Amino acid sequence: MELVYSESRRRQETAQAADRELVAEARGGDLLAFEALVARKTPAVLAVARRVVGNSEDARDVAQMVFLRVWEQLDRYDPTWSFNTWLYRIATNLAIDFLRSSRSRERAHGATLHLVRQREESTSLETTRAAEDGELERLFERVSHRLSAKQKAAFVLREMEDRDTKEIAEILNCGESTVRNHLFNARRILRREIARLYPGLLRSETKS
Amino acid sequence: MTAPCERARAALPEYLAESLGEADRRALRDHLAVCAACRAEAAAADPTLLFAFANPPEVSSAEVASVVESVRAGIALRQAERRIAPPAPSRPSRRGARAAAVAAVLLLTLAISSGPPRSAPTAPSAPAVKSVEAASAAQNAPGVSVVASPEGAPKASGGATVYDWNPGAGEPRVVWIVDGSLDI
Repeated sequence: MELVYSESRRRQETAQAADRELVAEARGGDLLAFEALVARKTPAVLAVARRVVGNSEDARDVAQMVFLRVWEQLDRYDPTWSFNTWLYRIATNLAIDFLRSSRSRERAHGATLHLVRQREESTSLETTRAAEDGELERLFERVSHRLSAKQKAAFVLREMEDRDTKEIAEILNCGESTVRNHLFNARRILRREIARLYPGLLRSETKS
Repeated sequence: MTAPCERARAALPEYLAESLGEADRRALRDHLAVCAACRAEAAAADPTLLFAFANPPEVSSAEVASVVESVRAGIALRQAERRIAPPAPSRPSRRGARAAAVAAVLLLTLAISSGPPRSAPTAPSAPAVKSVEAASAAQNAPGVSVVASPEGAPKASGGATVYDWNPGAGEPRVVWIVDGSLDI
């Protein structure tokens, strides 16, 4: 197979140099440099947070917590590490915490209502439209409900954010084999949920 | 079907099993991103592959500005909280008081061992009062007047000097043993 590195990866590598400068200035107490860093990193942090916690509003809250924690812990950041990995680590862990607490609230107050809503939405969703970008995000949110917070985060980072398993292991603070285990289980549960909630999607895909 | 398509489809099982090398994995994803036929084939093989090609959710500049603004406000709030935070408790910790007492004893020991004139083996009563004052200041106990008791005079016992301080009025009696031979 041709060994072609994707363009997006090359762009990421180029951007890391600019990140390092901003981080160095922010570590020196430069608030404007830190705000520039926040502006640069917000889309990436929001994307991960939104996919893990499942909605934009909560993702914005998580993003705010992430950057406040980054500001407070900048002096503890080791510049020999990738800033992105460090940032993703904070973002993913806060998003996991948020998801866990919101799920426990949901279990306590609105589990029945959630299930009713989920069924209504699944029947009204057209499977052909589900393949569209925006719908894919919503489809993922519906079928990923049974994943544990760590399985969900591992799948988001690996499959949707295209991070390698070594980096995911650093982000989730676990071994690479644990990451692969999370990914294996996540795929198994997602397949089962797709078959349960969207059988039409499976039929249409197997026909093609 | 082109050769890249054939290679991509052949690599799918390894991709799903997480056993494909990173470079090959990336090449497969690059191919699937531009080849609709292979993407459909991959999704048919495993519908979870649909999520590999979901574009990241769009983030508007207004959303970015809103996050920057809330972070700026959060930092300002925390900085303000730090500025108006009440000072550390005036009563020092037990450990701090103990350290101050030890320092006072050391000072006293030095004064005893080097201070002229050394006319008697027993130290004069003044250092005893000084040391008591230092300890009292360290403990910062309000309302306790520092008065050397009649028994406030130190007594020598072997290599150590004993200071006995009894403030009276129901306050606890304090006895210090300063052993100059100890290397603290």
